[in-house]
Amino acid sequence: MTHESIIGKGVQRVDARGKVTGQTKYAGDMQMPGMHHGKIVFSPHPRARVLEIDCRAAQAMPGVKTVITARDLPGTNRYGYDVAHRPVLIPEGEETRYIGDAVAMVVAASAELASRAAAAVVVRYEVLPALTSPRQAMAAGAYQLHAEAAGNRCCTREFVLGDVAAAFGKAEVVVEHTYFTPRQEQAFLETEAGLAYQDDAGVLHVISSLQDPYGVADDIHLALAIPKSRIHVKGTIVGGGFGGKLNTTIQVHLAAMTCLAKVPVMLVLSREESFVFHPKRHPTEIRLKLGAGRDGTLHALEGEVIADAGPYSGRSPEVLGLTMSALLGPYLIPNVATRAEAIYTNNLDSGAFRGFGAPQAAIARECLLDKLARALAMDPLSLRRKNFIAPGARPTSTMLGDSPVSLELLTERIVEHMGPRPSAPANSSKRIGRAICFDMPVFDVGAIPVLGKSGVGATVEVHSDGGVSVYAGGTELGQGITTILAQMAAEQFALPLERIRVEMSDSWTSPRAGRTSASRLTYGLGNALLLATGRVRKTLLARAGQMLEVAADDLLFEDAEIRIKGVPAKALAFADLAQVCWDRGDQLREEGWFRSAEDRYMYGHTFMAAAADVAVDTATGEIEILKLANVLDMGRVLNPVMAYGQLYGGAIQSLGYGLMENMVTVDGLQKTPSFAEYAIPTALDIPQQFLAEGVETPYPTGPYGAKGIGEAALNCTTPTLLNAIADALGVEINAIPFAQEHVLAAVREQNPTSV
Amino acid sequence: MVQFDYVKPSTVAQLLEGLHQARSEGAVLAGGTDLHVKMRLGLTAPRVLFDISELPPLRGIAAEGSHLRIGAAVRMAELMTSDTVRRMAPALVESCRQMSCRQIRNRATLGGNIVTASPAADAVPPLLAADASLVLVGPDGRRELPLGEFLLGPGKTALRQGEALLEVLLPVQAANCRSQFVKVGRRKAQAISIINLAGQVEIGPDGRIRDLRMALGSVAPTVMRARRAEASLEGQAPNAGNLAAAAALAAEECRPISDVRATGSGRRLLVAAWTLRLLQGLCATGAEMGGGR
Amino acid sequence: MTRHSLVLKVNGESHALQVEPHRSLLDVLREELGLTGTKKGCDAGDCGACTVLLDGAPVNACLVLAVQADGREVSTIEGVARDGQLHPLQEAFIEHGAAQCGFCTPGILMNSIALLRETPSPTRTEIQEALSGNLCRCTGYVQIIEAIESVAGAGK
Repeated sequence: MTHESIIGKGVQRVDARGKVTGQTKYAGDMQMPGMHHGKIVFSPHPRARVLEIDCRAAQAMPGVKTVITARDLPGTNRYGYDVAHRPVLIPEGEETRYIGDAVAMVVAASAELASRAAAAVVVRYEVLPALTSPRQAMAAGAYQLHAEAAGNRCCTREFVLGDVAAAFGKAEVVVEHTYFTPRQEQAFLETEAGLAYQDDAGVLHVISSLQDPYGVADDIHLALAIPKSRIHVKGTIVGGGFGGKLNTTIQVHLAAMTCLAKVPVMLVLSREESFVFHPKRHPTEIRLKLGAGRDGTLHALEGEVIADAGPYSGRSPEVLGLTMSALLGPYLIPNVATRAEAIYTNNLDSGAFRGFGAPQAAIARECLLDKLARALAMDPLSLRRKNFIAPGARPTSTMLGDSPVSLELLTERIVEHMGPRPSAPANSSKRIGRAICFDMPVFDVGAIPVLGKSGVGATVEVHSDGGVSVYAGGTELGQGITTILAQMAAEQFALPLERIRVEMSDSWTSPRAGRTSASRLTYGLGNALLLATGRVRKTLLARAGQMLEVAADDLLFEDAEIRIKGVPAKALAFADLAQVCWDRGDQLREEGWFRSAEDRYMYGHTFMAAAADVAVDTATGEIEILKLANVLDMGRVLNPVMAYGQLYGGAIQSLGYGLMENMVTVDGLQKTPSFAEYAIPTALDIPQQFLAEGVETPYPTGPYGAKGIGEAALNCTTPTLLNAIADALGVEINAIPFAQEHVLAAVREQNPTSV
Repeated sequence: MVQFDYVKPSTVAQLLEGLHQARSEGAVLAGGTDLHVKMRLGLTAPRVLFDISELPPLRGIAAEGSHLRIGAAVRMAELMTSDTVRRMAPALVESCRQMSCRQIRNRATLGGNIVTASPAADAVPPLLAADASLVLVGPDGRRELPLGEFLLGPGKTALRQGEALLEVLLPVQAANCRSQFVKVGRRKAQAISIINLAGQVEIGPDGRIRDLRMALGSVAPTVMRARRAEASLEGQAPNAGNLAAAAALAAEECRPISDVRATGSGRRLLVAAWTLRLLQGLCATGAEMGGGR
Repeated sequence: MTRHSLVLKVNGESHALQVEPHRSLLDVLREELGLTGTKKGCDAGDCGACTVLLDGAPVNACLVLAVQADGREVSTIEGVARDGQLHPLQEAFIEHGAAQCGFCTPGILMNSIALLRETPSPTRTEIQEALSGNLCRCTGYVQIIEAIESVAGAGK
């Protein structure tokens, strides 16, 4: 009887029971004896010089343990990913750079007392003119947010291939447009939260909702001059991240609070504070130009991206790099000249958000392709197919490696999902539109040597009772990595899932694993785990071979036993074998260390298709999404229930981005401070028919052939909806969110005599 | 968080006495759905709250001959399940159905929606179109005021110091009266209205429009009547042309601002489009009636 | 400010408390009673993460003063499973992958329990309308709706 594989099964998540019973503790649920509460005093001005901070009234209030300003901080008062130029607290005499800069912090006996004391801190500012757009910040004479960044240029990327000038000269059709994408907020339901304390040995413990325990430890070390060996960071189960918790959020502030107040401190940001504090999706302006032959063959692409980096660098270089690669998409374009710049401003901060620049680029690319199709009087799907990367070929972007091309399979699947085009009801003001878009989502495969942050570890331990523990440094954001790792370990040892316990995100117990982002954990941690289980299996098989007097090669793991191949009756129970190994001093705890074989900076990639049918009412502007389909090449679908959850969730975030989300600042001040003003989709906003499918073309180096999939679904849906609406109305759309009144304005422009 | 004393008066007299003593530092607590947020954000800081959410004289729904009386503390969810209200004020029920979400509707009250005086309040357009009036109680006794005179601006009402809203009076609609409500938001639920409209009309046996009232919300400092649009159709037999012209007038006479939700010009386009759709529905000239959202 | 004495009946158990009147039911549940299953997502009634049942009706606990819940029946997520036996909705949520990060899950479950009591066989639209006050950022709602549909009409 063959063992049924657990890979590919929609098994129950290992963390599901805790979540549906309310037993799971999130960072803000923790309690500890002597726990105090922190509150940060943020600057109300995007740019102002801090003249004087008067803490006396706050310090005197009942229950206040301490009030902290920059002069109280040990260390450099600087931290930050990429460039360590973010202050923990703005000192007197220095300038704030956005309304999320902190000026002081309070530690008090309760959250309420801390809030009241924070409100009693008196700060005198000299308000200064803020830079509130990239163009304003780039202009000659604009003040510099950072001494090292002339022209407020955070970073620049360029990519040149072939000869675009010549190619455009020869092109028979040229189309061009400029696209505007707004600031999108991650809007995770759990705001930033954490608990920090120092134990009796003075070692710092930070337990917090985060996406990179190692980055947090680095930042605490840098900012507060605490030795690395005396910093323990533990990531809790995260109530949503999407990149917004990727950079260090409140953890340095929290660490400072506990070290200075000498009590455990809990800090939870309010929703309004959260909306201001962490980095959001870069707003962009993208000018794109395509040149093609009359037969639709793409000859040249030229593009310029200006992204609003906000006040600090953070993830901007990575975002720009991925934007650049995504401008090309899954198409063969022989001549390319693209350039992207991220510019510092005093607006809200920009950084990591699921997709990392690819969603913005996908809008420009796919919308311009439809514009080209219209100019050529060519079916948009045929235009794309004509230019697909051929099977076996490398993509145009030099940032990518080899991945089997599944575009034809995706085309077949998406066309089948969509069926015949629906027709508009007779005598109706409704118009039907359809669009099909493609994307080439990327995922990190650990080959980023330039960042010095490649290499992923995972530890497996078999206990003497036959149970298994896995230690992995990624964080569980809801994407399901804990379950995936449990499935893999269960598969490797042929044990039931319940016998596997996975401990995530602990900088002490988990080997270095890097960040939880870039859809990288299944690939990286999975491969590291397989290396680790491989070593333990070898040890177990050697001992079992000895006990059963056969060669290790003659044995297999099946149904919680080690059996002789072909002689299932001759077997050892896994638990019994484990006990013997333990007694004999065999090594049962192994670490796997995975490093990509590639020696250059590259991402893995895969392919996806999305399609939508919409009904747009030209009389009222209403937009109905009749059908939305997403088909993603997942390499191998490890857990279909969870994988489809990623597709649905990403698609709806993308729907929100296109139709309703816009985090607005005016003069650097927040105008959409809460969920009342910043609209994300509700259960009523999902498409009438909403389809998702994962196809499988195994990724050669992926664990079980799996690819990274977490971000993919967010890239394609927005341009698909925009193109479908454009198709319905016969207009061009170049800005989002696009909503009812924009439909009406477009209709009126087409038909000035209509009401 | 603002700290306050909490009192639950068991009679209107007790409420008034309490309000009088508290002067400007007292506030009425009904559903709390607006008040809590304002207090937490520090926008208001009452020293004492008077909980009227269970005060019997403010909790009734009664059809009394020429009027429907609804107590100020009746919750939106209760309006939706009341047979009386559904029969006599269907547009009001529709506005409740499209308002926010059920958690909020289980707490929010009709009186609260009116007194908060947001220009985007969803219950107000149907009440204004129905010519509703309000019964206020205060130290000088009762007074009745048309809703249109009660709302003075964003967050501003004619409520005097020490006064509270007791009841809403809706004139009973004629048998041949039709009413509708439309809401446009950025999403299909829990949306602050970008525009919201209500209309009420009688079509006479001669097929002519009688007594048309159109209330437009979120397009002026208070919910407003589209008087020019109304006047243009009075006594007319509705047709595609005059309905479209009336809709254009409504778009002209509203005064929308640009804010984070939409631009003024965008709102005008929506008013034109949805006023026409609303009129078509009311006059049943064959166009399908959507509910907005 | 004077504290008020009140009795909160939570999941069938009565608790005598002294609370300041400005404390929300949400904060009192979480901080005084240690019932942290009900989450604070926004403290403004905009997200539904704090949904509890008050005398059977779903409300945002952040908008209810604890003193207003005096003598009332409050149902939270902690009271849903009985003696370790999960409610069919909880089983369905697990089966259908309806919880990803899980932060919105307790509020959605409480709301769904109320929905199925009122409307044992809701249509998909009725489910969507009932859930419209519970924001979820992870799932796209599909598997949540499928989980509820799988239980609906089954008599619970």
